[in-house]
Amino acid sequence: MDQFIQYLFAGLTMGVIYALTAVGFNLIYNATGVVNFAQGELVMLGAMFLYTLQEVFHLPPFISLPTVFFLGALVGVFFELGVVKPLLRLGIITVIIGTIGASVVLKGAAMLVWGKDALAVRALLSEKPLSFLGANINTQVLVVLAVTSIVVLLLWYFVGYTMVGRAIRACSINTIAAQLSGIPVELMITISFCLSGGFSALAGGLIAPITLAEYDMGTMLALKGFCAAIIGGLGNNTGALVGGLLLGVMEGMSAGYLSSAYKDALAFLILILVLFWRPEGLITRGTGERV
Amino acid sequence: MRKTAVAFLALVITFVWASTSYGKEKTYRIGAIFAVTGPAAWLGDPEKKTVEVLAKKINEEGGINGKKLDIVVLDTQGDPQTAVIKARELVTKDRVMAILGPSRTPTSAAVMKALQLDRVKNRFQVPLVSCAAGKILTQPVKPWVFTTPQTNALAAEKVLDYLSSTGVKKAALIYVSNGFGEDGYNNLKAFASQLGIEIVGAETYSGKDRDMTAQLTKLAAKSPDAIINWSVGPTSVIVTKNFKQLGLDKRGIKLVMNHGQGNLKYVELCGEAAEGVLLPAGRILVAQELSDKDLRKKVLVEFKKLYEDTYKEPVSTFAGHAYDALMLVVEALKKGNVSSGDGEALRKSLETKTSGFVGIDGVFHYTAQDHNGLTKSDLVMLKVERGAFKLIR
Repeated sequence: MDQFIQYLFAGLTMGVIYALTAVGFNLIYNATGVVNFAQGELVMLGAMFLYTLQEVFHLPPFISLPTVFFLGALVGVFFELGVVKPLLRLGIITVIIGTIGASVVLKGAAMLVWGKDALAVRALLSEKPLSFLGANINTQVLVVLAVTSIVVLLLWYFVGYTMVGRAIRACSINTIAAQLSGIPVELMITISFCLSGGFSALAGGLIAPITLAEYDMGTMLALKGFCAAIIGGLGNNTGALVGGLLLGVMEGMSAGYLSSAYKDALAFLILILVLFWRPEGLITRGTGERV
Repeated sequence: MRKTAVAFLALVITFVWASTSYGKEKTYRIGAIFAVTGPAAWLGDPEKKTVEVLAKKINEEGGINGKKLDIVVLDTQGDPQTAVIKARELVTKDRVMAILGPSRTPTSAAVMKALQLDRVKNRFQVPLVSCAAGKILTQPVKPWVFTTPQTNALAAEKVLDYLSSTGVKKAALIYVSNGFGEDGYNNLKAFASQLGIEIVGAETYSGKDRDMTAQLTKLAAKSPDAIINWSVGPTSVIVTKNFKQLGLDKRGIKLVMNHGQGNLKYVELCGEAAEGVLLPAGRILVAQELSDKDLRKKVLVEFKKLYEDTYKEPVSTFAGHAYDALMLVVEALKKGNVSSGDGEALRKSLETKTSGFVGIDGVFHYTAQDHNGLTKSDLVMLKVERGAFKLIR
């Protein structure tokens, strides 16, 4: 039993990380229809920001985490203005290729600024693990779970029940109709990138104590995060959470009960099965929205 | 037309002049190719620095056999293709008589194939003294390829020797699923059966994984006396942290790392989690702790001081690999009284005259059958105590 709990938390740890990256993918996908290949790099920057704020400037978490969110949001805005906006009129594919280029640039820049070595970031609460039902849990995992829940609730409220959130949704459902009803579409796109950047950076900051901060950590995160987004249905934030956690827990369980050698293979097997049976994702949305 | 003819003539004259002048030069020209930039720069950078500072010192002290040492260092960027281009440049343009490096096994293997150094007869007749440890370079012996670092096999044997001497009966393995990890796993499995240690479980992870608690929980359930990890880079840090998180040390299980964790960066990244971790390593990390009777101590302490005084950064194991590569060549030139440009004589001398050379990685005994030349006694077991490496006597 205690082994099961341990596997479960191992899976949840990675699952939350995947889910957070997937939500970042979704925000941008919903606003522009673009799959942002630099999403992993935005997460990586968050980890680097937290390292700098916490280990170099020694700021407490309640200052450093919001600052990381703010800096990430800023990067998101620059990303949109510098890469996406100039390319958007040339078509979606051009933008996607542009994001691949941006990911290489961001990775290279991070390598120059923070170096090639992995950087250690202290856990926000305590380095001592917690005992729970016979399993030992890294306290940082609890921080990640708590902060993620709060932020996802806020996001859900923002997108569903505020004027700006509704406007963003309107843009994603039908851009032209939204424009005709007087919604400033370009501004909504900028806001989406701003949110996605901030969200991804916060995710990076939260996971840095677990994964270490490294300039090339984005690639793996983007790959698994994208899987999670697809499993849950691209563009669906609840789906992203379900997809991420499912992917993580399946990995943890297969490493524990089957063999660690097939862990990654199993994750991609789930992806293929989902694409076969429910290409729209496990959590389907009503008709009329972007599929 | 005339212009082309003049240019061609000029080119021919330059080449003829260049090739004749090299032969008469009063220098030994040695090439070096390291991953000075790129993802493996943490290897190549200290290697380049080492070779440069040593060459300067040797020349200030009057050179070798009355001849100056002329070192040409080029950058492979850690890329096999670039490494081959640079190696060709060294043998055709610079006409070096030996090549030091490259830093990594894939680049070394590429250079070996491109220059046909695995054949007795080849166009260039240039010995390669590589700073990489891959099995492919020395097993079976390639006539022109020598290596300086300790191999996976030596490290595996050292670890299991030590564990069996402390009464460990059951060990579990966890390793990264790439060439390095699998080579370590195969060696550990082979030596374990010889020493009567039972391998109760083996788990893997990918180089990009960032949580190994599931694998470690599964291994711990088989109640081993020790868990041995085989990987380099951040994954080894994650394994160490997860091991402590699960409280496996409190259950009396030892955590043993491999020789890839032999730098203070590993300890720094792990923080408190590294306390009590065991690992095999070269003696350079604990040079000051060695007894004065150890004939290696003088070499180690002198090199450490030279490197650290010159570059104001701590010396690493990788600097040691480059030290050995260069100094073995120097030793061979001296002992064999090799004339400038004679690669074949240098190769013979490396094989037959350098035995007993005391380097940083150990005491080398190159023979025609062994082009690595180290034994397990060239490694020591270390324990991490209060953020530093301690020698286990």
